[in-house]
Amino acid sequence: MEIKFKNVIYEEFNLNFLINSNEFTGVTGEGKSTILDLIKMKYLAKGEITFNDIIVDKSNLNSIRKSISLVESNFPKQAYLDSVKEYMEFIIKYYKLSIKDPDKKIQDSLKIVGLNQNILERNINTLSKSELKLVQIAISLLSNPEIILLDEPFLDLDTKNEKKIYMLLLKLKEQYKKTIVIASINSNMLYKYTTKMIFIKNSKVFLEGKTKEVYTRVDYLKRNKFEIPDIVMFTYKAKKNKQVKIDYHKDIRDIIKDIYKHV
Amino acid sequence: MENIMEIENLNYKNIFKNFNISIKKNQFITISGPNKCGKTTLIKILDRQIKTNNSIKLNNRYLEDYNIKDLKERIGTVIFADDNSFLFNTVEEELMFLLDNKDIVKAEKIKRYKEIIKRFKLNKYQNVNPNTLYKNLQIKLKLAMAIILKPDILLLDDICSRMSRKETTEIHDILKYLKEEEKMTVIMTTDNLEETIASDILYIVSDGNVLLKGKPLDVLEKDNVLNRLGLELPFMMDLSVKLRDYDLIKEPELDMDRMVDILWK
Repeated sequence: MEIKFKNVIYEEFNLNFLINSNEFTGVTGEGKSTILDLIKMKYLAKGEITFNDIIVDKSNLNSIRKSISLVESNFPKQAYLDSVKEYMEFIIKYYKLSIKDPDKKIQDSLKIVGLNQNILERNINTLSKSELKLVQIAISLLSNPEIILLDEPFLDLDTKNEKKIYMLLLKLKEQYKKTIVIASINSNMLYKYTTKMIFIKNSKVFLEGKTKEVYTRVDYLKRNKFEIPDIVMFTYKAKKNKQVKIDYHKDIRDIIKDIYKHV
Repeated sequence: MENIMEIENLNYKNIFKNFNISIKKNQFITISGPNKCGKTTLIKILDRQIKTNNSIKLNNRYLEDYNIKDLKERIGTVIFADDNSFLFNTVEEELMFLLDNKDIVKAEKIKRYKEIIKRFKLNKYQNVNPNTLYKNLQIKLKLAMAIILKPDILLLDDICSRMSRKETTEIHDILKYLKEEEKMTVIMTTDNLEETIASDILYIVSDGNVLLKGKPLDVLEKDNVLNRLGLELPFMMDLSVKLRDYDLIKEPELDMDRMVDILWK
């Protein structure tokens, strides 16, 4: 699903951007979480938001909202809900999701994220960080969303679990044709995992484009106080200080090959 | 230098098995390890939020032999995951309350308060309700509260985990000052190995034991062990060990400019 913001005004924000269907888009900068909330349409903003060329208005707002899921950075715990099953059933009721067979839907969602069914009986407080994240993603799938928004999805995860979550998101994109939006402050992560980037500054879109192209505008980003991914910074310094003809890469092994050729 | 803290044959649930660490006075220690290796539990044990017997010594006395008030004065603790709220309506009241509870002359209190506000760059927030600050600023305030009465030891659990690089650097500058000028001993856990580089000793903990221990650069060179644990090497260390494997450099180099100079003279 493609999302387009045209002069969308909310509080101090005035936003114009495009999120392409079936792509990994990254959002960074001050107010990144608010951007996710606005895409999720938690608040009513002025201006024009289109989803697949359909302009959002009061008549279609509720149905469009359901096709967008937000995975928050923390697990939004509810004190009175203990087990994963209770939690998932609560979500279905609370958001009035029209599901014919809720039990089957819950099982299917867990299957997609690669969790065993016996997690349903477990107390949420006993789950590990990666299990919590996987359950959150399973919950986000209950409404059959076309777009999944994730706020800092890799936070607190070690590299093994980070990779596991990324592979799951990749599967959701490739196999299930989901559109994935990741908000983060971590430039290394965004550079590694996204193909399109949106930079927010002073409540506006400051820069938007293909990840590899925009992140290599080092001087421009630095001047505006954005973090530069380490791998980009190193390549930039080699190019600038020594006029070496190496390319910008995402994988450190590709840099090593380039260095080997040019040393 | 003498030991300020000793962890002797610590056994706790299935998390620690005969776990030993001794910490010298005025050292900056970092502890890292994969998810669920017990980092937060360890900090809570050292802070006596979790009680153990005959396992932890502070200045050669077991923790349980201290009265709790005495212990709280010697140990300052900040745990990221702790969500306890603040008691007062302004940052100023929150900090001044701690000073008011101590027998310090008024002029000295105000001097200390002003120093802290300046050092932590909290000027703008003095009259703000601390419960309305955003999380990273709350952490910074908690750090200020933990050190305002000058404890001997500072225990920090993962406090920079949600910070940008700039915010993390700011915190580490403060830690450097606390170690060098206020002669504090700092014990910090982190998932981010980049944060361990400036410490005196880095411990890698896994399966209830110390797996690696040493100067950070020596520990971080062990890329195979760290990768197996799921720990991410800081980019420059990762680059260094890989370049060394290809005989392109001899020693790890963490500074980008110097690395570029070494590779392309």
